[in-house]
This record gives sequence, C-alpha cells and structure tokens, in this order.
Amino acid sequence: MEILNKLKILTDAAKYDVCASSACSQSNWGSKGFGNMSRMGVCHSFTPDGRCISLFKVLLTNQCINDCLYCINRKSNDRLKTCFGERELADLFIQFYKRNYVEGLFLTSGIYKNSEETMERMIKVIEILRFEYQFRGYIHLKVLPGVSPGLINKGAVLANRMSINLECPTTNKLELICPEKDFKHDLIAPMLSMKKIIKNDKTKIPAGQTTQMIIGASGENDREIITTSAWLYQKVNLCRIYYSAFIPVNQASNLPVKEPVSLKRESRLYQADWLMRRYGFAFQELPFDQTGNLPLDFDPKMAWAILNLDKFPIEINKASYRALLRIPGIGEISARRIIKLRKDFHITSLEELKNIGVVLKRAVNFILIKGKYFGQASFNNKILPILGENSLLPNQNQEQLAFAL
Amino acid sequence: MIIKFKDKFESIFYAVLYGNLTGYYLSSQNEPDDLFQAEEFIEIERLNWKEILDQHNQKFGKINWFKNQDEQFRQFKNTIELALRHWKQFKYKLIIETIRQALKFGLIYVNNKTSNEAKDLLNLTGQVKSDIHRALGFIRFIPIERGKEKFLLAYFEEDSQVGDLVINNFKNKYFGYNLLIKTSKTVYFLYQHQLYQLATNKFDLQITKDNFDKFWEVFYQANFIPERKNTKLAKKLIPKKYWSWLKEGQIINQVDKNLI
Repeated sequence: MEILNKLKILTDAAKYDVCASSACSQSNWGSKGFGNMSRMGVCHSFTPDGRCISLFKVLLTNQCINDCLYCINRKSNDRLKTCFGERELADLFIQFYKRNYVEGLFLTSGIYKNSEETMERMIKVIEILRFEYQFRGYIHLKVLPGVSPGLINKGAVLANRMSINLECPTTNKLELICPEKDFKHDLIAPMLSMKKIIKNDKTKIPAGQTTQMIIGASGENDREIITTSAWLYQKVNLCRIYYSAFIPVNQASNLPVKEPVSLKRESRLYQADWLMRRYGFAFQELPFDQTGNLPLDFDPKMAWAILNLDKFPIEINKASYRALLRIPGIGEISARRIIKLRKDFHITSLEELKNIGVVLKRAVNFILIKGKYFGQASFNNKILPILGENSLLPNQNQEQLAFAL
Repeated sequence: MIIKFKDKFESIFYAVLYGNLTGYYLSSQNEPDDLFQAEEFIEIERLNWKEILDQHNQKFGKINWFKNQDEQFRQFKNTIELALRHWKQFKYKLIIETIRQALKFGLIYVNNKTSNEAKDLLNLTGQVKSDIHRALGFIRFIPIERGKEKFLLAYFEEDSQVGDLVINNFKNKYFGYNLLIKTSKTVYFLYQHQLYQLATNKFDLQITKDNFDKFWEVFYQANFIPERKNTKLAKKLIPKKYWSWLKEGQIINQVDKNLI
C-alpha cells in the first residue's frame, strides 16, 4: 500500500484520541539537535470541527487483537488494515516537522499480536527519531494495555509525555465495552508504573502522564467519571485527563449506548475537572443532579455558587485568592490581577473589574465592591425555583472513591 | 512645538517626561506629520535625558518604579515594546496616556489593565502576541538544499511587525538550517546565525509550491470528525488572511458546503 493511503487510514483511525497538548517546559534530550519544545504549545492548524492540530497523531497499525465495542479499530470491524514501517513512519514525521506542519509526534497503535511486541515497535520509531535524526522535539507515546514495566521505563526515557487510555471509570463499566481488558492489571498498573518512574527520576516523562475516558459509551454517569478523575489526580498524579464524547462508529448490537453523547456534556466535564485541578474544588463539592450528572443548564461553578448562596456576596477588596476563584466570572488571571492591585488600590467600580477581565454578567450577583451590592435584588428569589427544578445535590457519595483505594 | 520620539521605550518615556515639563505635543518619528508640517519640532534623542529626569523628579516627585526597574517595570516595558510593533497608529496615543497613568498611579495600576487606556494597550499587545503565536503555527516551510547548506523558506503575511521575533523563535527549532521568511514588505533571512532584513521589492525570490502539500491535505482531512463539525469555530481560529497559503481555508469552506 502506498504511504499516502497508509497515512489516511492510520490518521483517520487515531483521531478519536483527543489529546492535542504539545507544551513541555523541560527537555529530557538537551537543546542541541533538531527540533525543540515549547512551554505554551503551538497549534499548527484547526480541523473543520474546531480542534487544534499540533501533533502528528497516527497509529503505528490499526490491526488489533481486541474487540472493544466502541472502537473503530476493533478486530471484528471490516475495515482496511495496514501498518507503517518504523523507519517509514519516522521519515514521514520528520518531513511534517521540518515544514512546520506539526509541533511533535503522538504515537499510538492498535495491538498487533500482543502489547509487548507492538510497544517495542513503537519505541523503535522513537529511537530512530532520537538517535538518528537527533530529534529534540515533543513526543507523546501511548502505552498499550498490559505492557510490562520494563518497556514503560524504556519509553519513559525517550518520550516527553506518556499516557494509557482508561476509557471507562470503573471495572464494571469497562467490562461492558472492553471485555478483553482488565481494569486494574492492564490499565491502572501501567499508570502506577509511570507514576513511580516520574517520582524516581524527574528527567523521565517530563510532561507527565495523562489518560482519556470515553464519555457515555458504557452508560456511566458524570459522578462516576469525576470520582475516578479525582482519584487519578490524587493518587496517580496524572497531569491531565481528557474526555471524549462517545460517537458510535460501530454497529455492535451489544453496545450499552447507541446514541452519540452531547458535546455539552463533554464540556461540563472539562469544566468540573478544571475546578478540581486549578480552582481548589474538592470533588465532593461538585454539584450533580439526581441522575448523577452535572447540570447542563449551568456550568459547574455557577451551579456550586447557586447551591451555596449563603457564602455570597463576597467583598472583592478583601476576599482571598481561593475565595475569588469561587466567584462565577472570575478566573485565575483576573483573581491574580485583583490580588496584585489590592496591594496599592481599592477596587471601586464595576468598570475597573471589567477591565481587569472579570465577566460581570456572571459575577455581579455574587460580589460586593466596597460594601456595595450591584446585583439583582431579587436574585435569590429568581434563582431558587430554578435550583428546585434541577434538583441539584452536592456530591456526598464517596463510595465509588473507595474502589481504587 | 512638537517633541519627536523614536519607536523605543526609553525614547517615548523621556518624551512623556519632557512633555509633562513643557506641555509640548508628542509625536513619533514614524507618524505621518502632514498636520504639523508648519510646526517646529524637537527630537528627544538630542536632549540630555538625565537632566529631563532630574527636572521631572524635582517638579513631580521621584519615579520609584523607573529607579527600581523590577519585574513590574520589565512587564510594562515589554508591553510597550510589543505594542510599538502593532500596525495601528493610535498605539502611540495609548502608549503615551498609559505612561502618564503609570507616572501618576504606579505600574501595578496599568499592568493590571485597570483603566480603559491600559486595557486597550494590553489588548493591542495581546494582538501582537497572537500574531507571533499564529505565525509560529501557521508558517509552512519549504526545505531546499544547496550544496552543504540547508534552507527553509516560507511566505507569511504579517500585520504587526513581528518577523524578526518569529524567525528568532524558529532558530532553535531548526538548528543547522538557514531560514528565510518573506512577507509583502520585508524579507527576514537568518543566514549562518545572523539575521538580515531586506525590503521585499529588492529581493528577487519566488517561493515555489511544495509537493508535500498533498500529504498535509490527506492528514488534515483525515483528522476531521464530521459528528463534531464546527466550521464557524474553525474559521474563527484560522482567520481568512492566512488562507492565501493555508489549504485548510478551502477545505473548511468545502466542509461548510457539505462537499466533504
């Protein structure tokens, strides 16, 4: 098969992996050679669906011994199967990189024969890049399920970031859509190996490890997903979790869910995840409705604020950084600006807050400026009935968290 | 009387101080001066800056932040230097007014966008940064080799004057390559680690098509997930001014019309 066709097939098969980050502040490969790292990451293009293209994201092969119900590359799918040669793939990537089409490589694969053998071939591609081309740029290496710690360690020396896709939040859910994979042995164990490697040697996997979950494929709810995410952040030190709304690409009759999942749900999960990672929210504080899902009508921070009206309004000139971050419409940058500014000034007007970057229409009902309230006097009366309709509940269910502990 | 300054932080800063002392109008040497042709002007570069600072300190009090030159100062200076690269002429008005506010209220006030002018100035700076960031992503090089020398050539349309910063960013990425970026006005040429800037009309070089384009087109189209189609967002993220050399523009249009 000619290389152009392989590229088409193996890119098309890799596109459902949504990770696109290419940011890495430190290189484990020095600075001399071909290619470099960007602290901020660079988007080289955007697909017609609006997603950033920064990495040359391809599969080594779309042949797979597994038959995961949701996956386009499952063995029972009647699709054209192909495979890059290791050198062929390395050469092709360098041509993309040299022309500035991409910022780095994202190498993933179906499992050909077994995880170990496929992973060895993936590592061979990276060895060609690192040792023959002297490539010093960004490489994200996908770890295949059940791969041995020895191979993970080999990859950790070569790659900037590594990841293994969890796909589902619990053992039970994984069994529904990936019957051949063992949640703890095939997925959690490699994650813990990577955690140990990073802890013991800071030069290995400098951009950390991530994972991805398919949202809605196994009929799980947001509480299950967020609970697992909280555990992964706390106990496995993941630097990021990606959520990919399920798109039915197979006709498998035994799929628990056959409808595509709304992108809004995916977006709410990212917002909740951000609150936990950056805004100091504990997962128990996140608001779920009676079905265990995040509300779609409000973003999670607004929903939390509505559930905690007794904590508002907050005086902008006195609140701590953490308290400012809890106000809807105030993000990290504007909170930092407020703190800096307060050293010399008092904020006196809504206009000043707007200039600083605060989204006033979201914040105005939750703040005081020098003791003065600018929000709607009837805010509580208006918002409380909505709250009742949505039956938002603070997350008090910690049973799931115990699964992995 | 008009005080003329150069497009450099120190030059504008001292022009503002001198303006405060004299009440004279300020103007950049790069501004079209049709309106003031009859006016006499004085070049700030020809004056003694130390004397201006001393006089200003005596009359209006010490400018501590200029003396300390700390992190806040570096941030402010960087903001102004980036804003000076913006193509809009009203940048000068914003820069002058923001320096005046910094003198009156301090650097924290302006660095945190508290006033409308500071906000607008930082937004200009943001646009310049965005031009740089987009250039780093959207520039497409064509590799050629001449004997032992390796070259990467590209065309780029710059709004703000950022070519030198962009090519410097590529310097480490493409170590060992000579880089040439051609814009409609300027050619930026990094040859054997030395940067040259030439007027485009004095540089006869046609950048030809790269046959590797078809690989990119296949890769780009294969990345599209039809179920997530959002061409409005894609068009916003790749503005039309880049479509003359980015193939993505045509493809997004075709997807928009359901031709793909």
